[in-house]
Amino acid sequence: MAYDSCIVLVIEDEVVTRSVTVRLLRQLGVGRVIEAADGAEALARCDRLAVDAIFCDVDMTPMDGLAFLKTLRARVGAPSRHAPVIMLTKHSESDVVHDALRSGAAGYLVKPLTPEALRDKLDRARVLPASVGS
Amino acid sequence: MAFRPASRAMLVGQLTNQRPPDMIARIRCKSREAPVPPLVASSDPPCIPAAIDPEVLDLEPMIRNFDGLGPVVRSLYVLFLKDEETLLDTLRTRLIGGDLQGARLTAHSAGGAARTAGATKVARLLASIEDALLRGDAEEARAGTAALPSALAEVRSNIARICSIIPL
Repeated sequence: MAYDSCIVLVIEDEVVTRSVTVRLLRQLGVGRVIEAADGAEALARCDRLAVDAIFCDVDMTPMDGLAFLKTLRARVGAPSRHAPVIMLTKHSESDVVHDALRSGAAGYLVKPLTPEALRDKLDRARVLPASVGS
Repeated sequence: MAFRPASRAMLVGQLTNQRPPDMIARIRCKSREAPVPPLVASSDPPCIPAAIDPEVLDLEPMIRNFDGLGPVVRSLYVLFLKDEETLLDTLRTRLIGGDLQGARLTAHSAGGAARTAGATKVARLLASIEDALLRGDAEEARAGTAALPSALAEVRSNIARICSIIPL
């Protein structure tokens, strides 16, 4: 599957992991990769642009991944309101991940990330309905 | 004498047995033109993988994700060292100031960066500190920070050696 027309948003407060994720997505051929360091910055981007998929860290400050997801889904008129959100986490079994899935996240990935895992999630995000929970 | 055609498995086995160690290093360094130090050298700076302890710096994730050790990996290592210094300073400051929630988030970020970079020991130390802070044990967290400077110094030293053989 080609991703050259895709716009993907990466939300991660930790700069090294964010840079690795962005580079891996570019390496996969994603046409445009946008970065945000926290939920609030990401919301501002989602208000202006329709993105095809969002990779979002769970544990961030001041706005964490779950708060971002809930706020985005409630954002009437935001072009990316229904974009699939894939949560990035250290622990797959964390309560926050389950809350996120219940709140409409399209899936989650356990860090550290690999190109194969990112590709798999991108493929699923592009065939799934935009948001299960919205 | 009858000859049997060679199977693919036989050929692969032969090639693997015959491949000189410096070829493996060259492949891993992703630099066919640049001179590559031998795997184990007596006087030259040591190269991957013999001289790099994966307990200090595990190169495998970066090699796998970026198809070898090239300029992208170099820039990510440089970014990691700069960022990690800042995060560890912030962690110490927050622990001294009694900001345990802030310290936990900083330990979480610094640990994530260390895991991403393959800094195994540093990541493990930070995970212990984060766990201690989750339990509200500030004393154990403060004690845990004592080992961080030397662990990060080891990582820095290994990254410096690796960067010296990565082409710009």
